[in-house]
Amino acid sequence: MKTNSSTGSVDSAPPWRPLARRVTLWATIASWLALGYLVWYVAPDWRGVADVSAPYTRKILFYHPASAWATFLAYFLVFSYSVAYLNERDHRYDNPAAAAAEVGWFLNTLALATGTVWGTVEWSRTGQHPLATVYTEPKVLVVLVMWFTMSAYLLLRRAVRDPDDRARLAAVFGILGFAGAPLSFMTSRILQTSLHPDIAGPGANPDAAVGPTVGAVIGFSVVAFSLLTIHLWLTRWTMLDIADTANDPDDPEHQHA
Amino acid sequence: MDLLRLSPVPATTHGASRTITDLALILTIAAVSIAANALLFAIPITTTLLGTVATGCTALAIVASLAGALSAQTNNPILGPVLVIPGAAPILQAALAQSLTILAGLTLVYAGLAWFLWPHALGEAS
Repeated sequence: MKTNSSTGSVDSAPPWRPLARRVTLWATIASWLALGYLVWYVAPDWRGVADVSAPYTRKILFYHPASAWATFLAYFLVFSYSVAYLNERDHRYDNPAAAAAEVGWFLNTLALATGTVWGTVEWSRTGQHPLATVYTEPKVLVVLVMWFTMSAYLLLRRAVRDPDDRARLAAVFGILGFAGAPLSFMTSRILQTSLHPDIAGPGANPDAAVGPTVGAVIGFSVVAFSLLTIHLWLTRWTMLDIADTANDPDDPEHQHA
Repeated sequence: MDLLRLSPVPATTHGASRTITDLALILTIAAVSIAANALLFAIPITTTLLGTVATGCTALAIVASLAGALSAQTNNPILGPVLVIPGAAPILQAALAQSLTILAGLTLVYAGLAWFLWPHALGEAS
């Protein structure tokens, strides 16, 4: 694959990408239709359950953890391609990092919004406004830090005009910013008691354990969100490559009068 | 920035010198703040407090200097504070809990990252 050093444009796309986009498109559509069916017809309906005051809000459980997972996935792509760019200084690694950041920012916003709705309904501390309870919760703060990180990454890309400088500075920040999220996660987890339930994995809270059906639907939603993330990432990556090629002054086919 | 790049020393040295300068400034401000708080609000100055401030300021100086180097190369220097947030968040969380062990760990992680990233931040590595 060749890259144009003056514009940073990529002259040809990886051969596997069109096929991967098509496969992930249909897999995403199928998995989201199936997820809708599972959430509304197979998963438990909490209406009428004594200690559940907001049964429809509980359905967020099937979207929130998966959107948070997909955010981490997108940000890991940013980190990986940033390391690859700094090692090889090859522009073919810049657009995938930028595309992953944009997709990650969208998913991060979704995770933050669904988490806020869930927290304001389900959590409470005496004498505290529900939003204050949510936004003093360590895990929510981590997601908020990630949101700021993604926003800063995208702002940084828009603030630099030169393609080489833009790719280099964004890659440096992609690594620094990615380190901040897990460090913040570990710090808050070690230091404070949390209202956020850990339903699976090491240190999971037994009180927050979900049944096998709910667990399976959550697992399926993680797959559906991962497919959506990969498809959006591949599509956005393609669009950025096309935009670079269209702006390439050395390509006679794309010179406009 | 161009003059800085022309200096016949490695980029990591530039990063270290910038970080030490920033650390001196941050520690001066912290010392004045602690003294003012101790005088005005009778806050006891303990070794834990001093250790937390010193370690936290070191970690913050490492992150902020690197973010400053990035924002200085953009058309928008006001971007600096925005770029600091991701790195500063865990430092502030650990500092609020006065956890010296975590702060020391964060300082080491950020120092290692800065060692790797400074040459790239200044465009020296290829």
